[in-house]
Amino acid sequence: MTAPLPTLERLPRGALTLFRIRALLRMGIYGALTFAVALGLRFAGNEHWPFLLPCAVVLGLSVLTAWYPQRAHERWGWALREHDLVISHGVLLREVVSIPAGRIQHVDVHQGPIERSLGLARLQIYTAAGSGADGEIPGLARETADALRERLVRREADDVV
Amino acid sequence: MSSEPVVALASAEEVPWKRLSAKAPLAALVPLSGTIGRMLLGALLPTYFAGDRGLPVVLWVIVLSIATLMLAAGLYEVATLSYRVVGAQLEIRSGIFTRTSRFIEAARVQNTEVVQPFVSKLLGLVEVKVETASGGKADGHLRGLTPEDAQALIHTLQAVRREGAAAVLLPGEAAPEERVLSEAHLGGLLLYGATALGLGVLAVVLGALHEITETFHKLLLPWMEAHWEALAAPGMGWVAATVAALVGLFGLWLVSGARAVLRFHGFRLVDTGTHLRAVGGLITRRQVTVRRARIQQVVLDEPLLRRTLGFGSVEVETAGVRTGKESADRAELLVPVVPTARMPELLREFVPELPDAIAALPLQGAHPKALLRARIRAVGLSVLVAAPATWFWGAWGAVAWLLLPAQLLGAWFDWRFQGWLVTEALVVVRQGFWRRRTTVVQRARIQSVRARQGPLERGYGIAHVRIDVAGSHVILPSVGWTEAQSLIDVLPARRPTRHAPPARLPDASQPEVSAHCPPAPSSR
Repeated sequence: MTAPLPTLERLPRGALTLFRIRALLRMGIYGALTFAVALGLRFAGNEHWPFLLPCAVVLGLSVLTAWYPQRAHERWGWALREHDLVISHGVLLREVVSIPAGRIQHVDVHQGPIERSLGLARLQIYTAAGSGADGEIPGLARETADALRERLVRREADDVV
Repeated sequence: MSSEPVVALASAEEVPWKRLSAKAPLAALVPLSGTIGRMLLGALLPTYFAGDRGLPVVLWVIVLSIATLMLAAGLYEVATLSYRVVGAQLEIRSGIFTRTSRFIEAARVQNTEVVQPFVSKLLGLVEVKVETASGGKADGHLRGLTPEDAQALIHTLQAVRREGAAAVLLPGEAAPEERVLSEAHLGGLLLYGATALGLGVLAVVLGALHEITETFHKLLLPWMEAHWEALAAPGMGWVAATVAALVGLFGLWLVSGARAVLRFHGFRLVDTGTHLRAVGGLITRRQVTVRRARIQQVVLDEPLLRRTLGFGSVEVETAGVRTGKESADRAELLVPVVPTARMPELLREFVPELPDAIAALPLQGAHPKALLRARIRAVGLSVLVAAPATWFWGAWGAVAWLLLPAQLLGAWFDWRFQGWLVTEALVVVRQGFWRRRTTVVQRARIQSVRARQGPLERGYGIAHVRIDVAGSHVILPSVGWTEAQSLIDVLPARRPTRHAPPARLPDASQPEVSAHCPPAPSSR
């Protein structure tokens, strides 16, 4: 059996910037948290070794920040076909999702402050399957997200599950 | 499935609001207290086990004040709740200062449940739960209706949906024209309980163990010290350990059997034509009505012990999402005891497209590389348990290494006896040997399909496919990555779209369909 997956649309270049900014923010937050823990340990009477903890965390996350966003950006892809929407993503856990056209209940477009400044948006697709979104495409250009949302919701949805 | 026509019954002005019974707050008192008690377990348990070292008095005052406020709020909501059916919607309103209105479209109702807990039975009331596919609890929960009002409400919802009005009965009543599909007797229920040792049973038994230990120290230990010479004879340690193990096992079975009888006493599943109705329960009578057209997934649960005894259980799931630690708690409808000989006949009642011999279906096995993965997991798990046990308990702890061959054998059995099959209308998935579960999903009900490949699976070139239906999901046994990608394209039944946009991509050709994946029909 051959893989029937079509050629996927890739995320725009701005999405890579978004992933990198997020990775840097994550590094800053975890670094600050571990630094606070180290301070606590220091005041509890330990010597200087607690400060190795935030150093190790920041070092590890720096390597990840340099490597992961690029790989994640390469792996993200989507394709809108007549009968379904296909989304492919994942670096460590690779995933390809197919959401049949008639099953989409509603579509959300999200824009956080960083996404807004970059002119990007995150598209979330919901079916009746569960509590969360069944499919999500981050880092789309706002126009693309709106156009895609429009095409998805205009399709005839099944009235009941 | 096309949308169902709806009938406008009346305009909003003409339809009066209906209130719950005046005794409804009294009926809600016990279940609400139970719910709040469960929420406060975190505070109660340490106090119970730690005695005086539990929560300080000030904290107890705060906790009890919060509990009282929550109970008052719950009772207030019940007392002020009113409802009506306007047009195609059930409207539920509660509160006076902060008014909450909930609108439930009749066409979206997945199933209705009529429950009669013990206190409600004493007061001559019932509870009605109206479930849609939207969340983890009943969307419309009306506590404290009179049976006549409950009947009228369900009939009205059925009329709005243009369904033949299936008789709405009190749990335990029967209509003469109904066809009985399954019944459970006491012997069968005890067998079901004895073969269903779940987390709830373990919790009860562990609680009982604490009490037994206390009793042992108070009563038995002084007696043992008085007769120490007789009791310290060689071999008495082994006798005591064997007796304790047997008593523990018997206790587990006893609790499990009692739970089964409490939940399913007098169980009866009937076919009303468009609906299936199940009723059962010793203290709390529960009656679940499921529309045939809303069945999403059917699971046949056959642990080895049940197979040996010649029966299994059937779980029927609709899109009404339920919470529960065990699958049996999450199923909307559970038939506890089905003789193996009657299984195909009963399953076809739920899934008419199912082939005759479900036990002899030509299932495709899991990928050979999946066995290697299962073995690695078995070894890892055994080492995680046995190594610390050996470290802490020495020679006795080393006995835990017996887990390793047992786990390896179990991994092989589970791998060997799992399989999957895609027919024209269905996906059939079988998992496990010791606890065999066969899941049947209608392809026309599939909401999404995803192929997943973790880092370990990538090393073996395998992946797993997860099929989501409304309210539930099933995972296929491991397949090759290429095949997994093919399956996500092939499995969902094609559904014609009214506004089919031109294909955006040049390569939108249909895949080759394998012998295992015939083309699915479009939905009916």
